[in-house]
Amino acid sequence: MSVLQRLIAAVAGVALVLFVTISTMRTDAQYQAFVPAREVVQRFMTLAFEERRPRDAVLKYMSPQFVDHDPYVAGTRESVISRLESLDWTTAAPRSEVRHVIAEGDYVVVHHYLTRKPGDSPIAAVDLFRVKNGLIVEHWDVLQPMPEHSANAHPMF
Amino acid sequence: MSSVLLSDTADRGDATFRWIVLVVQTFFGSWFLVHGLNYFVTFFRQPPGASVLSHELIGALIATGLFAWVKVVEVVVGILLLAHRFVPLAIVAALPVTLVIAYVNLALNKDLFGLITGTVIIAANVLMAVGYLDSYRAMMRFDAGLPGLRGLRSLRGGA
Repeated sequence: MSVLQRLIAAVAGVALVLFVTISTMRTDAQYQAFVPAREVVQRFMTLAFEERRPRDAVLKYMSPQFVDHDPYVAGTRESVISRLESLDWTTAAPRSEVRHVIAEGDYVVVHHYLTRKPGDSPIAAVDLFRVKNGLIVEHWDVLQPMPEHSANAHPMF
Repeated sequence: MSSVLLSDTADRGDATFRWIVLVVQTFFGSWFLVHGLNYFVTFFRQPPGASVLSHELIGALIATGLFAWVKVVEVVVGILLLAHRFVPLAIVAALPVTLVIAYVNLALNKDLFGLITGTVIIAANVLMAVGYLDSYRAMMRFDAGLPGLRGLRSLRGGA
């Protein structure tokens, strides 16, 4: 084979590989199903709290069949959006500082320092998520308001 | 007469096989070059894995920096195969990457696309190796004798 023939073959090969790769590539939504549970929850927390887009976070990472066990909401995905949007996101709070994340199979536990409103007592929060096919399908939480004065020599965080 | 016919048939078979190997070599080289370069210049989004396990494996490879070295190997192999230089060496260098790609697709992803990808990449690597099998004959000796400096001397043109 001459150099020119080799060059033409290489260009054709590269074009074919690019065509096959791009035409068979899955969509982001299809790849979402393969994201590990821990990463799904971390992406949700980041989008909701750090990027301050709670509605987008819920719609992107919570399943339409999502069930919440929080007694202060109706338990649907829309009720979570309503609850989060009732908070004032233009201020420094709501704020979440994640301290621990523990994942086991489909379950992810997030232990975080939560502040809902500026001036409010912070909360030691534990959220438990169940993830299926890359989406959060269930949520439980345990919230412990942090007292101003603690009897304990060790801090809560 | 019959030996001439047999010889013609063998020549035609040899020429056909040569072209098949060259086509596969071009496709395989392009595959490695495109996917290797994509890590550094991004023609398309790096596929994150089509199963939770492969997603975690690829994520770990990226986080540890090993993925970049895999991609360097892919680029070098791709260039050598397309330039038709050091081809037997490139085929051997490609084999560990081929096995990992095949394992991810066949054992972890386990979907139709993964089945096709895993089968094609192994078949292509093996076919190329068969095409250059004469280059590997020295490696296939049952008893390779004792080690020595013969190899280094022969590289310098010595006996």
